[in-house]
Amino acid sequence: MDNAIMLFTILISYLAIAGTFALFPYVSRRTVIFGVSVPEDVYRDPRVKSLRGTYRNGVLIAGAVFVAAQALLYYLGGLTEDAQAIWLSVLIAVNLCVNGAVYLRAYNGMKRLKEAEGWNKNAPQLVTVDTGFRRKKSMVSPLYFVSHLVLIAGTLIVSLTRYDSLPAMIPTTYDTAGNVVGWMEKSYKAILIMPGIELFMTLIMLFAYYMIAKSRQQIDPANREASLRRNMVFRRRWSAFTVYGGLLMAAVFALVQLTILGILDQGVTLILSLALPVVIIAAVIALAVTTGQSGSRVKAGAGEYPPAKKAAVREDDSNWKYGVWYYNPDDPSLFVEKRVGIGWTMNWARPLAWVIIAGILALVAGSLVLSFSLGK
Amino acid sequence: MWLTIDLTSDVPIYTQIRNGVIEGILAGELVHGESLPSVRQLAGDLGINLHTVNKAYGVLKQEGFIQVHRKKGAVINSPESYRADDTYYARLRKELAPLIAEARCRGVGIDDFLDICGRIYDDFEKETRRNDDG
Repeated sequence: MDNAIMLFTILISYLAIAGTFALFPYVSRRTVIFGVSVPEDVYRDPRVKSLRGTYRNGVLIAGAVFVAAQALLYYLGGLTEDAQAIWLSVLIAVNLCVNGAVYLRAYNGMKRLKEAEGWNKNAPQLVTVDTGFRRKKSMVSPLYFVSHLVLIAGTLIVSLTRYDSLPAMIPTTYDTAGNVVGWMEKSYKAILIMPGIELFMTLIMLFAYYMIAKSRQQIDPANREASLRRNMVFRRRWSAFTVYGGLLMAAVFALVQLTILGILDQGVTLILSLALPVVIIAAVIALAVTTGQSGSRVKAGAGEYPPAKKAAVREDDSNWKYGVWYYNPDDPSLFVEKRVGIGWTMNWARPLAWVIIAGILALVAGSLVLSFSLGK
Repeated sequence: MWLTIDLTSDVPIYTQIRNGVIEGILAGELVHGESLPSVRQLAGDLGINLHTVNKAYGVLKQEGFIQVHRKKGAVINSPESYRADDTYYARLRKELAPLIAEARCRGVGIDDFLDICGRIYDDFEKETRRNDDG
């Protein structure tokens, strides 16, 4: 890897890890702080504020140390390319572990505070649902995914028609100066890699779409009209992200394939493939900040927010191990909204959750094995 | 229709679901032919056991408020199918008896009792009219 790309990779991983971790407490639902459910007004408690500050500074500092370590290793180390890649992943793993520890501290602090204050202790435990929720169209249409399939089919057709005219060795990697640094022997397998990645990305996004569609509705009993609207906006925006984000990724990989086939100049493709992660991460952060978990940051309109009755929220902390892992054998839901950060997670008490995660891991492992078997 | 369940209440959850659906029908929020969420869907949204919702739907079906199709799932029945019949009147009498016994025991006269009944009727009436207008 050359200097520019290395620096870029380091900065992107910093943005992705430190940035998103630091955002967690600000975009989660107000009634769940660091995975602990509390009354809504607790969010502004000075002790809670200080917990948030400590957490945020912790992950930002950990991230800065991570970037410094990366830069140091790179500029002083004189490591081989493989060693650099390994170090990068090791340091990312360490960074994630440190962030986990910083979170755990905040979680424990919050739990102690709740215990001491007796928050939610004798509150009624209400659950509210809208029985017509599934008939309301909150998701963008799944038919948009047809465009992804068309794109993949197009890439395949172009690849196969160009196959005969390709040279015996096809270029696969370039440096920023535009020199070819990686080659691969021409084979059907080799030109199927990029369409394969396109398909993989599309399937992942389709799965995410399905997960959002099937996930449980999250209505605040004290504020049902407004929270229903927020929840619908939340679903609409993220389902749109799975569609357009997925299409964008598939399109960039299609361009990479065109470059490999010698149809497109590598300069444009290089810039686009470097811009891709930036655009995706920026979009995720922008969506997280403007929408919030369950749409908690969406303005439901002035005067729409009646003064909430205190702590009418369901108290199910015991089903959330460390506020992160949902394990509830009594709940038939497979997909639920996370309590920390943005997005959805699975009910690990359902065997299907484990089947799904094993399936995804098998897919990833399979594609890694395939790419190694083909050489670099 | 909004359905709110209190998990700490003494009233069993399946009874709360049943009552919620009946009140929804009364308020005109659930109309003849409208389908309710599937058992799995509702149990998932409420985060409760499948059997609880199954039991609630079973009771509603038995009382004539819903029909359970193999394909369409639980659907609200026509008003004729749950209009009060002899069985219902018998049950109403049986269920009112202990309430009246306790009321009389505590010195509540028949006028007071009927007054309370009248008010509750009025409240439901108001809600139904509000929903018709809106």
